[in-house]
Amino acid sequence: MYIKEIEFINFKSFGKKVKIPFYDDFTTISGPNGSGKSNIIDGILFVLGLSSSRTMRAEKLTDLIYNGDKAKKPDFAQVTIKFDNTDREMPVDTEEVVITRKIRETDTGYYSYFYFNGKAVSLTDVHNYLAKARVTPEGYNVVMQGDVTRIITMTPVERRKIIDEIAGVAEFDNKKDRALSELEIVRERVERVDIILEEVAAQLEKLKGERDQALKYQALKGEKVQFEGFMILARLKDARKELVSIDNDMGSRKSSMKELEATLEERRQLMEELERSLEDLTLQIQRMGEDEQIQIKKDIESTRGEISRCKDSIQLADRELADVDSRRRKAFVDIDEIKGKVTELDTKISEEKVRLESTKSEHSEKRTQRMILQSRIADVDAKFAKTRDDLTQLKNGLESTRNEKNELMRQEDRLLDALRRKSAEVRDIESEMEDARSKAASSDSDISSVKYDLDKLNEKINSLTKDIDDLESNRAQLKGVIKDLEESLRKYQDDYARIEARVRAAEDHSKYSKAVDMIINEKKHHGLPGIYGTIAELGSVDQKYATALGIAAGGKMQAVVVDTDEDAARAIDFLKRRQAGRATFLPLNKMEERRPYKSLSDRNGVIGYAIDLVDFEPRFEPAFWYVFRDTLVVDTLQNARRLMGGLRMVTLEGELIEKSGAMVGGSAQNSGLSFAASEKDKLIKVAEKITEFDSRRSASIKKLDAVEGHIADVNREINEHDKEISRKQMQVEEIAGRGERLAQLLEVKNGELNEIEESRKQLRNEMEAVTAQKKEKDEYAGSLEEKIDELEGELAGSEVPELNRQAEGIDEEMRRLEGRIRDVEAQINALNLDREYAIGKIEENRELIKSLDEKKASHRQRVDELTAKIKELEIVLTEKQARESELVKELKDMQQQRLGMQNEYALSKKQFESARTRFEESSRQLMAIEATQAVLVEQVTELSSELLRRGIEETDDVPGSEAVRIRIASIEKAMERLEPVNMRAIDEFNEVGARLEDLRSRRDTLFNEREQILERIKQYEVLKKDAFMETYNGINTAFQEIFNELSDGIGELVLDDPAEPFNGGLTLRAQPKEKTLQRLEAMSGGEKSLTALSFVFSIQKYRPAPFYAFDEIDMFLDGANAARVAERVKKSVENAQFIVVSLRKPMIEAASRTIGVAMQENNITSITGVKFR
Amino acid sequence: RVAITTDEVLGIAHEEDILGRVARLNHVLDSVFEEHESVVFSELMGEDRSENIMTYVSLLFLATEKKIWLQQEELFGELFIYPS
Repeated sequence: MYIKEIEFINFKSFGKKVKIPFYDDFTTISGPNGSGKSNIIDGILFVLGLSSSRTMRAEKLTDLIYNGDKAKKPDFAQVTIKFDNTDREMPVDTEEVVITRKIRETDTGYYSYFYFNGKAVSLTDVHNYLAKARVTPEGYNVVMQGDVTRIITMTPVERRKIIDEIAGVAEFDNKKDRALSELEIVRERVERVDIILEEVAAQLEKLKGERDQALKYQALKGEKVQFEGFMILARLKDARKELVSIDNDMGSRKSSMKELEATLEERRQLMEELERSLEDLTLQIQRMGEDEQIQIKKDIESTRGEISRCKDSIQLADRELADVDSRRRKAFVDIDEIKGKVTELDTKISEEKVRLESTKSEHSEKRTQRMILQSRIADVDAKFAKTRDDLTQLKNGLESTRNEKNELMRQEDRLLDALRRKSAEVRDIESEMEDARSKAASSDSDISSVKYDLDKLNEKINSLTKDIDDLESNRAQLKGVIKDLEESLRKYQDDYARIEARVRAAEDHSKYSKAVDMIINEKKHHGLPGIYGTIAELGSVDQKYATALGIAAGGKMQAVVVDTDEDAARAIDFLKRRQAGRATFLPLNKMEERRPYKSLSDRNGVIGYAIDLVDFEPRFEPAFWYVFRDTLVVDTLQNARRLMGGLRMVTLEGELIEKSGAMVGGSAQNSGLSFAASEKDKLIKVAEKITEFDSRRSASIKKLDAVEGHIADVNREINEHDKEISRKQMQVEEIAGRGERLAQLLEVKNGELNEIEESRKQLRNEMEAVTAQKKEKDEYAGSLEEKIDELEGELAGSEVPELNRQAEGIDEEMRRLEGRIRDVEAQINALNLDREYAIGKIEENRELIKSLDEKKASHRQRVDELTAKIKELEIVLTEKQARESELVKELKDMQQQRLGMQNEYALSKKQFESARTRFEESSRQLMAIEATQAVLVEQVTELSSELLRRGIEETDDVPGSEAVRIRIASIEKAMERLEPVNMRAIDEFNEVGARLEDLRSRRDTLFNEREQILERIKQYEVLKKDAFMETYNGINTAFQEIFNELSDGIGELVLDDPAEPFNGGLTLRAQPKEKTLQRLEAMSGGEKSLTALSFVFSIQKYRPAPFYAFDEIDMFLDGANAARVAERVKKSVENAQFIVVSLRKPMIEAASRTIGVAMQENNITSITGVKFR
Repeated sequence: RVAITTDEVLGIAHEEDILGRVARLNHVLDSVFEEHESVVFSELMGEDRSENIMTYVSLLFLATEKKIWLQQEELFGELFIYPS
């Protein structure tokens, strides 16, 4: 790989774009000072970013931008290097590698960009690519003037670090650093494990003690199990023995049962025999006539019944006969009466007929008179007929006129009235209209006032509704409360009743001994101090344990608990003096304290220690301890029997089993003493509760009533308001429609008024007409009256009026007579009707009599029949009675025999019964024994399995039971001494031990790890040193060679501390030809340059790179040395491309071509190139 | 920078004598330019490679001093020299 071309744009003195081609050989760049030779090297440094360790000749990057022409300074600079990569030294698959760097200056600063083959990359990327082609800053690819002198002036350590970098020591340092941090982590872990270890060890130490104790305890427990096993074995043996004896017992009982059975059978047969003969006899008796006797008796009874029934019928018939007679008599009397009446009526009729006749004749007489008068009047009348006719005509005319006038007056009145009415109507209408107008005017204000009222009402309703809600919720709450209270109350009342019953029962049945009674009585009267009461009084128990605990306490129930022994002595003295008997006193100050007992509650059926089931004040504990000791309460006798041996037990039903094995039990026999103390207290408390709840309930109910009252009130109020609202709403509607309605009304009224006015006018017209007519009629009537007066004067002298008067009188008389005739005729008719009715009645009565007679005859006949039947029946009865007495006599003997037999049978039955009772008793006993046997068998199995569990052979030698008991007791004591024991300690000790082991192994692992890391670090050190030494040796060898070549002298690189090179630096030791070994500082400039260049060349030789650029490295060399350096470069060109800036003739001569640099224009470098043959 | 001693500078000057060469070349070129408008570098070259090199360097000095103008169509091609 080599540089093919460098292109500068605006870089330093390259004002334009300048391309410089290069070849893979030795090129010098020459030209006068200040013409820009070194800027080419700077450009290479710039584009490759190799300026990190050595400074480029510019203060700032922006100074690199061309600045020749002040007027138009460009804002960027760019340098591009094209590498030929045909040998693929750069691992990129292109013939050419192009690297570009560009800096751009902006107002805010400058920006630097790198491009690799046209792609934007970072400086690091560029470095990485270059490093792959062995181009590195430390490799002295680009050597500036200053670099040469700096190698001389830098400290030895800095110089050594150049070797470090070339050797790649940093890599080992990094690895070492990582290892060290790993080491730190491991160290921390070890520390932590150490802390935990310490803690766990302490824990283990602590647990060890507990574990030892637990192990001891376990051993004791095992022994105890064994010894308890011995006891069980003893019990097993006992049980077996008992079983054997029970088997024997059962055998003997079974044989005696058999005997009993035989006897029973015998007796039964006897009895049955007797029963049979008794039955035979009874049958015989029945056959012999008992049946007949009974039948006859029945017949007699029925006959007698029939007779009496017949007699009753006869009586009834007699009574009916009497009745018929009386009715018949009454009918006859009636007939007589009616006949009288008929006669009377006949007389009256004839009388009336006479009267009719006379009246009729009178009437015809009058008629004759009238006719005579009539003829006379006719005569007279004919004379005055004309006048009278006229008069009559006039009179009629007057009359009609008057009538017409009257009619007119009435019409006038009517019209007047109508007019008045119309006027009133007009007034009414006018006032109505006035009213309507004022109403219409006021409707707006009315509406607003009504609406205001409505709003008020709605508001009120709202607030009331809220009130109701509150009240309702209050009510619901109260109801809940009341319900709760009532429930509680009921519960308490039930409790009260129950407890009261119990207390009463307890009190009624409490029968202390006389002595105790006296003591308690005396205590009540404060006669004896220090007395607390009896055990029964002081303890209270759950009802279900009452029986068991009562039995367990036994006679000690009435032991009297006293404060001190002195009090007891005083009480005893009291009893003695009164000779009242004996009593037990329990002085609390001297009583034995309660001893702890082990819990047996895990055993089947065990309820607990009796003393634990009684409630009492703690100070009374010694007294109750005395009473109950270690008595156990067990649920059933069966369970108790399983536990038997060494335990005092009482069952819930009251069976008592003593430690000795004695068993007490049977039917309940109330000792009369039971615990009641707490019940009484409870009773008082419950009573208090009841009172409390009762008053609370009534208070709540009162409150509820009040609330409900409120609710009703509020509802009523709301209702009223609602009504008011609907009224008001109607009012509003009414008012709203008022205007229109009123307008209509006014219109209508106006129409009415007009009509009325019209009709009034009409009426007035009519009125005027009528008045005129009236006047006319008046006048006409006056003229008629005058004429009548005149005619009447003419008629005054005639007798006609007299005759008329007479005729009228006769007419009157005739009318009177005619009425009379009608009356009499009616009377006669009525009388005839009465008569007909009476005759009909007589006929009816006759019919009745006839039917009664028939009835009488039939009754008589029936009576006769019945009498005959009675006679017949009486005969039958007599017969039957005779047969009956006969039968009685026959049966008497046999019945006597039967009585005897019955007695015999009863006796036999009694004997049989007694035998059966005995038999049943025996079989019951047998069953009890069998039950016992079953229990024992079960016990044996259980005990055997228990033994098996405890690992004891039945054949094992068993120590004496007393020895066993003592041993168990001592084991228990030893165990108690050890308590409390943490049995978990055994496991915990093991667990903690395991954990300790685990931790230790972890610590070991960590330790190993640490060792390994340390080892690795050491290795890194070695590797690092090896790498360094290799590089150092390689470079040193090259240095010695090159220094000799360049100066003919001897030189070498010397480590300050060859054993530990990193502790010291690197010194260049040089001895130029024919000179003594010199320190660098003492060398001439040329010598220094030579030495430094030798170092640079040796690095190049040890690690060759593809190209090198040197900037006037031969400046300070004399001619000969310059030639040697040039020769050196020329030699190296075989391996690499060299671009060397130089003004020295030997260097230019050595190069294959020369690039000339000049500054022909101001500040712009111009390039020319010459290839010399 | 390491100071350059007088001896060293004198040593180089003595041996290579650039300035002398420049002055002499300037003189030569002045007379050439009296007859010719320009001259090419190949005409100035002789047999001695070393002398040719020094001539080229001297031309660079003269160009920088703006006494002549160097022009090249193509790098490493023919170099034309004009009076400035």
